[in-house]
Amino acid sequence: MFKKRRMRNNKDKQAVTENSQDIGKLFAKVKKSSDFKQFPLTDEAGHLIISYYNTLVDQQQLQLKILMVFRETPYELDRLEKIDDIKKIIAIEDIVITDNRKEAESKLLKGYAILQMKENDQRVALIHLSNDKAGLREQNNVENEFSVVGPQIGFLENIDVNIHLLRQQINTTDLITKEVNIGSTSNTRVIIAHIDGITSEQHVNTMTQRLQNIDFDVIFDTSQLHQFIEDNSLTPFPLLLPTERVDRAVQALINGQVAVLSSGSPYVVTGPSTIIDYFISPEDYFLPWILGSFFRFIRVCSVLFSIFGTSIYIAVITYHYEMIPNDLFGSLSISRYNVPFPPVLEVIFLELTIELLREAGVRLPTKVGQTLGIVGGIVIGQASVEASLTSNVLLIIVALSALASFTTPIYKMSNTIRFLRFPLILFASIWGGLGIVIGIAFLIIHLTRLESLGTPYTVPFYPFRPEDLKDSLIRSSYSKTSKRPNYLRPKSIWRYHPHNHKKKKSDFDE
Amino acid sequence: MKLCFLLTFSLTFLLSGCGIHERIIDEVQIIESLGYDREEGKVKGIAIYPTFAEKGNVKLKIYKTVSDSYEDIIPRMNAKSAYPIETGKLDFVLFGKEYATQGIEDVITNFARNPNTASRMQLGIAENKAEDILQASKHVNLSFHLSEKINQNIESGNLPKMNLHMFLNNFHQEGRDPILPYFILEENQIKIDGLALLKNDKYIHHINLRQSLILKTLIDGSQNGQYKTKITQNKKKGFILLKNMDAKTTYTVEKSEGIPSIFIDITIHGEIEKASSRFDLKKDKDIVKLERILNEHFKEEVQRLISLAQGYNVDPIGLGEKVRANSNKWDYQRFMDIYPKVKTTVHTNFQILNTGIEE
Repeated sequence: MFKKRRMRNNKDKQAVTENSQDIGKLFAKVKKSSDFKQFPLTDEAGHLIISYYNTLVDQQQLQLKILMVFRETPYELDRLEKIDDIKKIIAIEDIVITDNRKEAESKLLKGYAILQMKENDQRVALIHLSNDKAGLREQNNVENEFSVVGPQIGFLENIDVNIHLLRQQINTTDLITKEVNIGSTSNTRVIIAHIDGITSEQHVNTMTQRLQNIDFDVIFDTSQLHQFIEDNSLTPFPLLLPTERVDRAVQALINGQVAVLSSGSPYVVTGPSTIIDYFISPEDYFLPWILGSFFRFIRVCSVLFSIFGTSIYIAVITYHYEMIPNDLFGSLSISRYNVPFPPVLEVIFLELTIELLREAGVRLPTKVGQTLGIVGGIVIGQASVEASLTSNVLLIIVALSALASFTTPIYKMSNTIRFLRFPLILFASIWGGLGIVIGIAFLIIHLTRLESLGTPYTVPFYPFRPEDLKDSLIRSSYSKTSKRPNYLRPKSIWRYHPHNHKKKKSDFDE
Repeated sequence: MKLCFLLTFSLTFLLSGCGIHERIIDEVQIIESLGYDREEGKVKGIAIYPTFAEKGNVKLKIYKTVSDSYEDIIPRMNAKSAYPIETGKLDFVLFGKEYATQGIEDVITNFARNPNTASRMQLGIAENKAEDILQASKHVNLSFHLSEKINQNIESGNLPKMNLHMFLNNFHQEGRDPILPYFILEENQIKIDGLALLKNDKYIHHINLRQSLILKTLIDGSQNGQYKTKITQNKKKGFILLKNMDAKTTYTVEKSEGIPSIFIDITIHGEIEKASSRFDLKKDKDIVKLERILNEHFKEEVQRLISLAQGYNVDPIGLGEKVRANSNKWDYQRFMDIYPKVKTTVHTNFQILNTGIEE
């Protein structure tokens, strides 16, 4: 694993060998930091020197596993003739013996302690003492992708816990995790997970290759990786699906997708994804399929409303009054009676107000946020109608479309929807209904050209895959969705065999 | 990308000059009804427009103007209006009888050509002057009520289906003449009093509401409507009101060459809504007797209507259309010559579904 990294990183192999000669130089550098500790384990100076970052190692382990051994039972020292024997004495599983300075440096920064037999010894033992959990949050409730039914377990910043969560559900040796280190400064552990025998090699290879090609300093979050590895960055649509829900990631893996986890990020990125994935909530699978389908359909409709609601309002009010029903004409006309702005300005004013409230609401602490919501939503909305800055019909439409944009289970998609309104508003204000049609045409052309890890984004609608429609706009019953989606090119197509439990047994001795 | 950019920009600049002008809802003056009258050789136009100043309080107002021809009526009104007059929500056009006798084709074809106006617009003919009717309708203070009046009577009353679209269909079709609702003033209230029969675009005659129900059954087969008639049962005279007349009519053209004869078979299912208390409605025997009486009555009425239409040489039922559908050699000119002589045999089958009293 590290060998691989070295192979990739060694811009100059010569430099590595040269550096490896000199572990002293490393110490000279790290000694500048106040939290670096170096002292001999025994009374004998210049012998058995341990060096570590105080802040990175687990103090308890250091005391129990190393100091106790050498201080309390000095006879152990006799068994220690060369550095390789250290494994016999110290009861820590992860001990690496190396004379490579680069490796020593990277491990030192990961919380390993360096043990030298003698001062200036090039061959050192690297003892794993790191304290992974320090400073990371412990609670892993789902926060952003909340669902009423189903498990509430989300991922954490700790990558090992995340893998643990995955392994709990995918309890098979086929779950393969590949580790890559990314980030010239952060050296972040990034894990690519897939299920052997299900996931197409192509996806795994594409993902691995794209991750390995990243050259960046600090990786803060998987959503950052997401931007580096997606197929097209000139799009507002998320091309890979970020999720904090364990069940969602498991579902993706089971279907034959690849998941990417990154240390320090509670979000797992799965791919290749299609546009319909962003409308699927895990709750759909926990509800009976009729209800699940219905709510999924409502979600799709509300997203369409959210995108087109205000632009249709502009087009109709500005250009196509003919299409307003007779009964509605009066109330629409009255609601705009005192408004001095053209409908475009009115809409932009109100949309920006809502966006402003949303941005402010995110930044504020939860308790203040609620107050802000009330102040913003009710007071500003009502007051702007009273002051004839906007019409109250528009207030309803804008508020509804803001609400509707939250129905997407994936936050990234709801951002996209927020954004997409504005070009459509402009189109509608310039060309009315024709503008909206032009906007839709642009949108559809753009969507159909998108790819996620080389898989079309709009599959199963375009290219049309009738087999895969079963779990797209509607969530079919489990007896129908026993096959994995074809567009993921899974190596085995059957998830389970529905005919085995088709017959409902009504008597226990049947 | 460059292409996309270029396209967006060229569309912005080229299309924005293409006459799509803004018509913001509160900055246009819609008119909901329009009337045309002829006065001393000039055309008088009357338009009703709603004003929505306050919530739930619609006020109807009127523009009137006189011109020597109909074309510039709206531009002349425009000169009186604060906002540009738009015909996009116009859904009722009324013609004075005098105007209609001289022909309404110009107005109709121009509305048909205008993409802004709806083809579901209703048309009508006023007994005297369109101005009187519209003036009276101003006090109703309910927008679009005139066309609603017609629609309501189509849905649940005695009027056959009609609107501008169907008028144009009848107007351009060979073998059928258009009909329009006929408006009168009764106690200064607007009433639809039957149908006006037109030949081409000119008013010929009008029939009353009872006859228009008969015409409705003949044209589209009615499903509703009310019909009052005077009958004699068991030597007792009295009135009977029928409702929910569910009628089906089939036409059989027996001879399409020479002078055609047409067999009309009407099946009507009706309910008795109100009847004079003298009538016996309890026994089956009496019901059967009543059915026979009504059968005879409807047969006579249908025959009378057809001969009336033939007398005026108009064809609102579309007998010509039936003949045309059954003939290889269709000559409209010839048919119009022989139309008054076309023989019709009517067979009616009236069934009383129930005699329940009012709902």
